[in-house]
Amino acid sequence: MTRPSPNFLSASARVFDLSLGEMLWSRRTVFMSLVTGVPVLMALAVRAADAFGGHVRISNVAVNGPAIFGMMIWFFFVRFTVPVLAVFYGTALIADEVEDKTITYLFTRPIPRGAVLVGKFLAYLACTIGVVLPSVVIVWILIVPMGGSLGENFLNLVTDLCILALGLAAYGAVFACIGSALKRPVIVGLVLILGWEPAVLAVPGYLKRLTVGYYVQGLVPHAMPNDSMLSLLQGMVRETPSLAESLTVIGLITVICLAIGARNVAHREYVLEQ
Amino acid sequence: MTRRTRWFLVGSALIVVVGLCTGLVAYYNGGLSLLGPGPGPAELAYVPETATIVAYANVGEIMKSDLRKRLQAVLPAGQGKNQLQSEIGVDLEHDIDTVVAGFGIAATPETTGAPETTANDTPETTKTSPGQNAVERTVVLIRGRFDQPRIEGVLKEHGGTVEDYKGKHLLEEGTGSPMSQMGHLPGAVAFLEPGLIALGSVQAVREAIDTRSDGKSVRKNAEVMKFVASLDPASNAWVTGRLDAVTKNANVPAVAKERLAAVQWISMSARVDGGVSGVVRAEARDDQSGEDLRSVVRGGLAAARLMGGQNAKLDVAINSLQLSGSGRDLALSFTLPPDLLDMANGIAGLRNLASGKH
Repeated sequence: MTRPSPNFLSASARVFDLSLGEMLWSRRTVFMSLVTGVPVLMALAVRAADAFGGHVRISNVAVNGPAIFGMMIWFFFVRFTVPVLAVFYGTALIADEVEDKTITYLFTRPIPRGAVLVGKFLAYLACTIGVVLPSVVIVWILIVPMGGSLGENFLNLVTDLCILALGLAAYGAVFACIGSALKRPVIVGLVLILGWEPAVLAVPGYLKRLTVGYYVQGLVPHAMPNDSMLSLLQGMVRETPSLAESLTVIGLITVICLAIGARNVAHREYVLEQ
Repeated sequence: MTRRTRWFLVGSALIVVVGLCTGLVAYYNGGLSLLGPGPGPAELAYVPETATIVAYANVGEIMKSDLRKRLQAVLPAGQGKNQLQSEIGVDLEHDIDTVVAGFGIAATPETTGAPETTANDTPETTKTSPGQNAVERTVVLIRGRFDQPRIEGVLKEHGGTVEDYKGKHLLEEGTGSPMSQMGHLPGAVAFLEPGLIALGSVQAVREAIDTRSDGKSVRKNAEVMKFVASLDPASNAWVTGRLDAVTKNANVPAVAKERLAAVQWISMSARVDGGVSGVVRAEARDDQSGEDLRSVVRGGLAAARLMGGQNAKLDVAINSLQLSGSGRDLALSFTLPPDLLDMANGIAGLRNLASGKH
């Protein structure tokens, strides 16, 4: 008697189970640990300096814990960690299998092809959220009590955690879609996050609505730091979309990109290089 | 899923859950603030709970700062200062350590919405305007070195009287004093502790003494103390208070009232040494007002930077402006470098020369 083929959801769950361990204990994890570990190390250093009577000064002015935490969320997480992790993991979901010539094994299983991408995307989400969010929580506990109150900043932490999870989902879906369609997706992804997004966000008009950053950054409760001319321009032309608009568009980006990506995987013929 | 993968996920979830639970407990307990003496100078114990604006200056440090030495050339010669020293023996440069002032503007009828009160306890019972009320409810606490017998002697010479109020020596001005002539309550000086005096109207000084004894000081005012706690500990001058209490005052121009309506609280702290560095913090009425306020400041900063580049010293000051904050909060940090102050010093010197002052 033959077993019936699993449906899309259970197939995705199986791929998720298989991919999570592979993803978590790969060489990329070293990079991810570095990216998320640096803010924690910095927070430890700042806290140690504070314990010995030092104060963090920006432009010779002391700043308190909540302000430092807000800046770290912008610099390390919203602007860097989330898009960069999404590029490196999202584009690799299918590209790695093609490069390692193992995609054939997945495609010979009696599961819908699209479930491979969805399962891998869920594994990517679990993997990155499992590393990024604890890092944010540790930084928050270390930094905020320096002149601030954990209670007063609790809602900001919850907001930050939600934003980062949503950002990882939206950016991840975009790059998973790109990874399923292009042969060199990393380069395209880097151009998008380091070129297109920062440039467009600094230009007045509607073009910024064609970025994920516009909707993700619009949710950040902390003031945007004005560390460079580009940041200043972004701040000056910044429009904050409403919460409903941001959540709707982020949700749509994630679902549509995943659907397109799954369709690409289902219909595309991947030619493995000999 | 392998065992170590499962352990990793459990560990990661545990960190997030512990962090969130800590935050949640702190949120419902109003913060896990460390136990111990409250923030701010000890003199706050004399400032009444109703005070809506509190200011502090470490005069000793400011007087010894390089900035003060640099600006000495353009500062007024200070005839009043010399007169004060010759009459009551107080040298403002060397005898004053710190000054704390508490302004009780919230207690005015206009800001509380209460019926207009009269200044009681005095024979000169008159209806008080908000401006008068603000002056009469202001107490200034000065820590330093004072010659008590000499000060008492001078006040008595000018028709003042001395009384004991709850064990403190309270010196009241005579009825012909400048304050009385202006329609205010007569001024008073109280020797609160060795090296600590209180200045203000009789009512304000008595209130300060009462505050210390009944413990209902501004330290009980959570809103004010939140701002005092957030001030840079290294700053040697600061002021914090409810801005809406000020803007509701009839003397504030309508334009200013309209522009500042969104701001509820404001604080400014500065560190005066070679230059001046500090932070201006504001708390808006709600999150939207906070975001609008940050947008306005951000736009101003961007415009200033775009127009900069003509003067390197000015650029340093403009580039030092850093905006931060979230929700209802806004913080703008600044630094005025010594070079920029030298420039201002030079301009003021030139003006003095032109006007024939030396």
